[in-house]
Amino acid sequence: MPDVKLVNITKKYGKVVAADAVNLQIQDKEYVTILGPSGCGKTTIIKIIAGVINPDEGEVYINDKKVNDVPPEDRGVGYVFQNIVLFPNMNVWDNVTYGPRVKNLNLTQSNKLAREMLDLIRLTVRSDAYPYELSGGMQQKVATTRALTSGANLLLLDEPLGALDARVRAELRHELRRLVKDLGLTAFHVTHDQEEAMAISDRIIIMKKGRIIEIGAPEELYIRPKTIFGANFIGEANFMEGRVTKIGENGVEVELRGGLIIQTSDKYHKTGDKVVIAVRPDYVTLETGEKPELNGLFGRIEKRQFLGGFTRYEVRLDNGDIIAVHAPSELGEKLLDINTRVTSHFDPENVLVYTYPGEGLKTELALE
Amino acid sequence: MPEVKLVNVTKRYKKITAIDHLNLHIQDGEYVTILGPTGSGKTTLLRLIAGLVKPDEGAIYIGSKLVNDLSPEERDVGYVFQNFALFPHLTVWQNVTFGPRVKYWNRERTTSLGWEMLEMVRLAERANAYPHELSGGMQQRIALARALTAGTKLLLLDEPLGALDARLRVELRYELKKFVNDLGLTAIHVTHDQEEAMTISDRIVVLRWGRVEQVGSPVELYLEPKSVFVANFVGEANFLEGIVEEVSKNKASIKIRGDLPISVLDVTHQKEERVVVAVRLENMVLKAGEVTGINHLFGRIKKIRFLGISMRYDIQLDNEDIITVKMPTAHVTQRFDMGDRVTVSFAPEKAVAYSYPIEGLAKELSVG
Amino acid sequence: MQITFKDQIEKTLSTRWCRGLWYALIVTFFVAFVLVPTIYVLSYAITGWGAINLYVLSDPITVGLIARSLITSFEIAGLVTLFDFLTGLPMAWILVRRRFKGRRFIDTLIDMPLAVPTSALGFSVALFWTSRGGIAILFGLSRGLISSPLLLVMMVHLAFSYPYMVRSLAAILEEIDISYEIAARTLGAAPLTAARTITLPLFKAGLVTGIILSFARSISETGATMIALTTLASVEKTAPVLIASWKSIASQNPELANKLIPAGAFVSVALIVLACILLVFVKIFVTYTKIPTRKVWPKTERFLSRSWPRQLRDVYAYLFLFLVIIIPGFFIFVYAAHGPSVSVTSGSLDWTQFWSSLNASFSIAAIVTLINLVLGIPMAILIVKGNREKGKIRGLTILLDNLVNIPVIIPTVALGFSLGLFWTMISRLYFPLLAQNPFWLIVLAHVAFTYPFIVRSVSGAIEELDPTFEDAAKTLGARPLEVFRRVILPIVKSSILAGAIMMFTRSLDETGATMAVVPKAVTAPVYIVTLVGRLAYYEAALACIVLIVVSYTAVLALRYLTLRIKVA
Repeated sequence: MPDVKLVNITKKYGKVVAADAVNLQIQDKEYVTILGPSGCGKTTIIKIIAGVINPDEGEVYINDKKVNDVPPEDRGVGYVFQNIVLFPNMNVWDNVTYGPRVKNLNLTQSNKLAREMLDLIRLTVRSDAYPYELSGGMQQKVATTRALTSGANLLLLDEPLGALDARVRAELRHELRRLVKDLGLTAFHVTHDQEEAMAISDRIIIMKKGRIIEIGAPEELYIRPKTIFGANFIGEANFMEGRVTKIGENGVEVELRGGLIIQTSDKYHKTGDKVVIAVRPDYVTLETGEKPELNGLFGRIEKRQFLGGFTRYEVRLDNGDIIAVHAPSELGEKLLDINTRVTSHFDPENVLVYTYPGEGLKTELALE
Repeated sequence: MPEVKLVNVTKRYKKITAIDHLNLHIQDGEYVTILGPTGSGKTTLLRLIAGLVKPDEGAIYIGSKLVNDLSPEERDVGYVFQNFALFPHLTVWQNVTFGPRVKYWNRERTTSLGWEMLEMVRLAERANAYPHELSGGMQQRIALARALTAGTKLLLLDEPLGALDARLRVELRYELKKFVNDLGLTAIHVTHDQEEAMTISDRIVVLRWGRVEQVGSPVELYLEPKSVFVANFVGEANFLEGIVEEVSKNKASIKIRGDLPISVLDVTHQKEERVVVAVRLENMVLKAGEVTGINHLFGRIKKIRFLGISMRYDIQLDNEDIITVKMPTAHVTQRFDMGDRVTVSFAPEKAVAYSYPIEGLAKELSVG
Repeated sequence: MQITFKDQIEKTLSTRWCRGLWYALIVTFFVAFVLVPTIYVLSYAITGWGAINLYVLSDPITVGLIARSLITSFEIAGLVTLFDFLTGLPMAWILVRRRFKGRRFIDTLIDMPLAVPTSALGFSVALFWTSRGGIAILFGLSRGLISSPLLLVMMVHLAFSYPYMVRSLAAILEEIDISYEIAARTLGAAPLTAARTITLPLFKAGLVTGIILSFARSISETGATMIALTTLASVEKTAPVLIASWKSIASQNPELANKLIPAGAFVSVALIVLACILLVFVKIFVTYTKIPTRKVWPKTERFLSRSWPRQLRDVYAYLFLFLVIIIPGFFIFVYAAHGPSVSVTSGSLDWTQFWSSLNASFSIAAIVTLINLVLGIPMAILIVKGNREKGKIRGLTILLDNLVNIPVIIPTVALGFSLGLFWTMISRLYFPLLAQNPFWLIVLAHVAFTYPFIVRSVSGAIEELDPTFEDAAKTLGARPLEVFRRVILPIVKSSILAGAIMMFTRSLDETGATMAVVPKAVTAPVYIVTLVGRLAYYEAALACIVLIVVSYTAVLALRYLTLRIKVA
């Protein structure tokens, strides 16, 4: 039974369409993330689910019950804000127990839960502290605990890690997922950080300009993204324009700029179609010299960047295009020098083929 | 001749020492990143160089000229702020040409330089727009153009990409580096994002509590971190506590928790010394089943995360320690499942031993 | 780089030395022309205690008179402030938290009493409640609805102190992040509970300001009070009225001055001291009272947050706004439309005198505004800059900051009286010319109590200004003067304009201070008071209407200008 269902949700602010007939379903106990650039409508969606904003059209269902007219305090959702929003005039304990107190729940039970939760995030010793005495990361942990202790089954997180340092974000996001999963909750998380989304979601919903572009598990979205925007927004991809020249046995053949032929495993497009192919930098392998092989493109290394776990190369192909290559460092490969002549190669399996977008490639890839 | 030199600079705010007897040389034409957690003093450092705050002790040289008593407007530096600080009441053009106009430059020179910069950041056609009409990424580029149009040779950037979406940050950081290189400038860039630092810096200065922890190129810091803090802050690592059992030639035998022996390339530590051994996530090798060998530890898979470019496995060793292994997805040959019995191993030369930190390991590893 | 002449001047003006001199000048102006004259009456009372003792304290009748007037003033001010709070809070909430179609309109309506001189407004309100053609029509009464003079004065005071309360509360409410309430609601709190447990505690600073402003306004008010009392032919007097009438008698009968001036001084001092004590008490009380946030009554509060109790609250807020503020305020138009037969007249309106009084009022207001802009804005900058420094300089600035607030708390009539005493003393000793120029005396009096407005307005705006703008300008090469001229000034332009409007209207408004410093002066508000005193109601109504229309137009024009600047 789906826990949250949105049917045809639309919300406009003047001429700006924040949400455009959005339909989505989230299952019970799923950890779902809405991922998208600023202004894509993700915050609007989460606020509509919470009941903080009312949609212009469409229905919201929580646990199969239509909640359009139910005010936020009765929807049973926990909300975690980007700018944390701990009540400044209350200490940690009062903040965390605010929910149960204000609903006059059985205090013994909720106090016990509160104490357990504070132990879980290792902040029991700071129960008397006021928000301003804690670091950003600690504050956000308290805010999350507060939402969880309120007795909600549905946790809504609105860019909860946005205000924190990169390093703190990386650590805290795993704790978030752990808390949610340990308590068996459903979580709805909004972010613009694809790494964060990939790390903690069961499913990711990609949005752009008020519309859902793609939905899928992290692996699906990474290995087989269905859209160019999705391919570009999650991870990195090399995009090259071309035209389908032949329909081969295992997939179509695409001719790129400068006459380079690429073999793909795509069975969808037809001869003559104008297409864009995409290959992820980590699926491209580099070999020194010119090695004639399937999908081997000759070029010269223009840039090299050491990125810790791997090295990023930018290769200027003979046809003028540039492709990025991620080569893992630990496989003993020596760093290649700039201007080395190389062959870039990738499997037909790893080539994604998309119909050339009507509004042009640049618009499709635009992040804002 | 160094472009920027700080000698024994100290800055205090009441009881807090923001910058503590800091020494730093930055060469002409370098792109240096100041990396550190919130509260490390990195923004204070930048403001000291710009002249927005005055040091309590020490000397600051720009281009070998002592600038301690020079006010910001006399120092000829360009500064890019995190929130851009574009003057809301002025158009893009007026913002960009503010520097020259306020210094009463020759009108022709102002105009030509202004257009040159606007074209470089590709926003010439928005010259008459007001800042609030532009997107975040565009505002950032205007802020950069404005700092550069003043004709400066030293560019100071205070978390310039911090206010932007994650995906946009990745795109724009390459552009930033390119502009600086093309114009032959010296740049000092402050950030808490180590990935950003690794991508664009010639050298990275790691700052902690107002002091320099380590200075070096990205490669140096990543492959040869001098302390546990740097090993943890730049990139990620596994940390195993242990005691040195035996020392021979260039190796140390260390007993970690559960009396498990490991062998590490090390010459600095003595017998019976308490140490912490660090191994980077991608230097751990994962094999199915129980395989014996030097530095081969047995355990069970606790968590598997797909992160796009890499797979992340959390393994609980038999001695209760948790090890994280990171492998490039494209090179994963074997499928693992939760609960699988596995062997984690690493080469002795890929591990580094550090003296056990005085304030405890947890404190040394805390990032916020 | 070419160095122009302009550049040279700018460089010289930016030097420490020059800046120091400028700031010294500003502070000297403030102390000599605003601070000292304002509190001079205190020193006068101390030095002239003998005279006070002789003429005032030993005469039981006078003492009785004074005591009664003080009690009346404080009673009225207290009740007015209370009602302002009870009705202003829901209205402020509606304005800030709700979005509905007519919000801009209601917003402007609430400010209406601020744009209109209180004498005109007071007359309109008084007529509404006491004349045959007012609200009495609804009840079929032959006389007005209200016959108690104190009640009438209260109704009049409510009309123009209400906007101060609403504005102060709304300003603070706007600053409190609505996310707190939202967070509370998602945790299960009913809107009322969320407001009570989270927002209200954060609110207290705005509450204190609102109380102080409302109270000060009511206690100061002279002109409208006089008019109200006259319409009911009452001999009651509030303290300001007492002071003004004594000063007036003293100037007409110099032989009584020996008694009346010390008496006036005494009442002024009493007013000042009592007002200060009360306000300090209020501040302490509000700051240290803890609003109960632990106890919750979920069922009750949920119910009260629901539709019809909430609507009832809204209706009550709107009802008060219209019935007590708006309609009585505009009643004068209805009254005048009925023609001269409605009132008891004595002669027709002397238009020349009226126009000259109007001219005087506007000239004074304009000059006062100008002086305060030129000399008050630098003070604001000085205070903001000083607050950023450390140690002694900061201490000095904080002192200045608090001193600037003094003229706000002091009832304007006491201020005028004090000023009158001060400049008389000065002219006797140093500048004989000043005593003969009533126009400039009035200007100085008005400058004193409007000065804090611009300083507060601008310093508040600059403090709120993101410091990175200044930093950015500096790193781009702008010297301090340039930073101010090119960056700070344009951005806070709308606050400056708002402050200017406030000063202009306040000066236009003022009756008490004018009468206390130059009793024979005829500014427009004073003229209306005299007309009413002569029972020339119809003429007064006409004059009021003209005054209302002209003031309102002037304010709207300035408002429009502000909006244009904000957009640009």
